[in-house]
Amino acid sequence: MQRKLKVVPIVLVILATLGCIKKASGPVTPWERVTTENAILAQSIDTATQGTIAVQTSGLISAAQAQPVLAFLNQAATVQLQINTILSNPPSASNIPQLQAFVSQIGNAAQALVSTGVLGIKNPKSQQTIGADVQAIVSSVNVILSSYQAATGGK
Amino acid sequence: MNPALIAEIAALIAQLGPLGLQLFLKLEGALNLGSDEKANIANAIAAANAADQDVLTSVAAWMQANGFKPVTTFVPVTPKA
Repeated sequence: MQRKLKVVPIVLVILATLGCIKKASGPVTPWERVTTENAILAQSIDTATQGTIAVQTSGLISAAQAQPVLAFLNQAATVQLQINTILSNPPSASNIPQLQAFVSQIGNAAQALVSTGVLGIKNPKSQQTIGADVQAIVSSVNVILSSYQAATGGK
Repeated sequence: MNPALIAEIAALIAQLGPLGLQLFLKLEGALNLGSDEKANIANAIAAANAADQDVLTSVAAWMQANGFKPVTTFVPVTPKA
């Protein structure tokens, strides 16, 4: 069971990497920072998706178990596509409420996923691990929101 | 990179194999920016869009292959035992 659950922890790497953005010359601008953080989250969600499919294909989890996880990741990617559109333009305080709404959407979907116990986990400790991993996605999106707010001057 | 991060990535690769290595390479590329701000931002947005589209394409193909309806929004479903 533990191996099954390691497809999602990749997102934890995001949180560790966010402070490691380097630039060839000059300081990293706030706009560069938030778009880079966003790209890292997207890559991690993609890898989590491919990992979940791989684990299901190998027979370690059933299709019924993988389906809600993939539905959640699909939802996160769908929301993030909208975030990408916002981030492609210079940061503006007027976009913050919309970003906050997107963060809430991902947070609600994550909580719904955790509450279903979709992976059929019997061990409470494992359940907690899934919750922590899904929360890491939500935390990462919150980091992006915070960086965006900072990029707009904290308004 | 700090040692803790290297250790975490190493563990990730050990757990996930090629997928972990692939993610590491993508992160390595994403974290090292060039000197042109506009190019960096354009690259980051393009990478995010490509990754998100890959998720949608992959999930849609998987849902179809496994007899599930296409996902439009997340609807939690408790799987059958």
